[in-house]
Amino acid sequence: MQRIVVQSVSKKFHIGETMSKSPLRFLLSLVIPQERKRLLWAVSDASFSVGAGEIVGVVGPNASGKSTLLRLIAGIYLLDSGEIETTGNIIPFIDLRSGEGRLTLEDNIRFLGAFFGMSWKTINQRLESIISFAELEKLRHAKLYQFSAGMYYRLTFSIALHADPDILLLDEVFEVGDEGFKKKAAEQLQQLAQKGGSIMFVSHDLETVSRYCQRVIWLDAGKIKMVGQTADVIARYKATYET
Amino acid sequence: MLAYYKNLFELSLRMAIVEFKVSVGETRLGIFWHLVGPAGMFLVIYGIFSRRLGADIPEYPLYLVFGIIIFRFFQNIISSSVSAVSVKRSVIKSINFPRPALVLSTVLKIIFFHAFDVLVIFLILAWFGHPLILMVWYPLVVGLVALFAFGAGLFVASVQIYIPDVQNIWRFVHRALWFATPIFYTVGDQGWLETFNHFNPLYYYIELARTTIVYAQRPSGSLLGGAVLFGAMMLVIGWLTFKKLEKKFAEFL
Repeated sequence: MQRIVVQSVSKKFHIGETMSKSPLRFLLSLVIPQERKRLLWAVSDASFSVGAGEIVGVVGPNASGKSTLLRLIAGIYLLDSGEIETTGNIIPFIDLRSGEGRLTLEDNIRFLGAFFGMSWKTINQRLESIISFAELEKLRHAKLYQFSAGMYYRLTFSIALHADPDILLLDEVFEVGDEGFKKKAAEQLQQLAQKGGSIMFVSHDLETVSRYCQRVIWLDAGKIKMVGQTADVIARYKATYET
Repeated sequence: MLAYYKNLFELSLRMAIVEFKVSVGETRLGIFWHLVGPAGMFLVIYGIFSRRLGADIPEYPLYLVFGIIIFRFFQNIISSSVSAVSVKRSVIKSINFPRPALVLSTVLKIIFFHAFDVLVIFLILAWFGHPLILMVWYPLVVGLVALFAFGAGLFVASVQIYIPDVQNIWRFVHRALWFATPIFYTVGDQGWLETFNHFNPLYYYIELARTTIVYAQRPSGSLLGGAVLFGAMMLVIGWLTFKKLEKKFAEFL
């Protein structure tokens, strides 16, 4: 079964650029916005599919359209052209800092869980399991602004995993956690895949991608440069950027 | 479709509880600060106008209380709604959830705060020996204001993402409305002001509260109809505008 089918998808942005400020232009800018719009195709004519039970990596240099692609699949951005079909519950894990800093850990689980579509009953039933998976038992009453980036990551990752995802979209999450938690998280992803879930993760960590992904999508300037078996794509990717 | 609305309501309620807790917990005196505003306003206006503008108005203290409290209820909802979408930039760019929850949660949060205003109203009614039973009308009044304010909140929150000037426009509009709405005076036969207030939804809500609770009269069909019509119309306009504009929130933020 295919969980994600992406067909000829394109997405453009109009990037605003401030023009050089001559005295006249400065005066004009007080009345009329002096901004030039540049057209940027963040994703251009992308087609691929991800099957149930697959872990697919997305690699590419900065600004190659990786996060945009995940947001398109999650339905956060509108498509300009093409089609995306998904089957199952999508849990995007794109920005680690979505919690409320002035609330405690427990309250944040209830808060973020609701955003992930979990009912109150489910959140309360899974509260202990979420805290224990994130290894944050001692901080359950601490406020989130006191957390390090790594602790934030563990918490959000744990909530996302407990939200019954069929499709998990991860954006550079493995760049933050410590080695022990990374390993534990990766094992959970493999278990999710074995149960028929699909995982797409964007990463610059080629070692992690090589270790856990069956296939890799290589994006460059919004275009898919290569889709294939992990070893092949990573070898070509390395060869391109190391020369 | 039903699942969407269920999720919208659950999420809004959860967010409202969280934001209420945060707002109350932010300061040492918490809810006290919320009550200081309307109470201070009441004392100042009553002190200045009770022998001038209010001299010919029966039950002037109660007339004034309902004017101030209903206006502030509406004003608080819109002022919070203007930035309700833009302040949640991070979560909008990361998670796909029912976006109207950002405004509905604001309305619910202000309703939680309003419960304390209602306590103050009860105390004032009791102080002036007014029959408390008349407050049975109040849920209808506050429900209609909330309906209208939810629609208006949806409208300003979504338009603000594309036109940031909305925040400044609202600052001007709410001051103009404060003086144009008969909060501390009566419209009487004041020509254009009377005509203007026929098109001012807040006039209907405030008058509805005064007619039913302060003066213990049944509301006229035109008063009740106007209140319902403005609420329903604003909700439809706000909802349609928000649903049209929400598709590109994540890109503009």
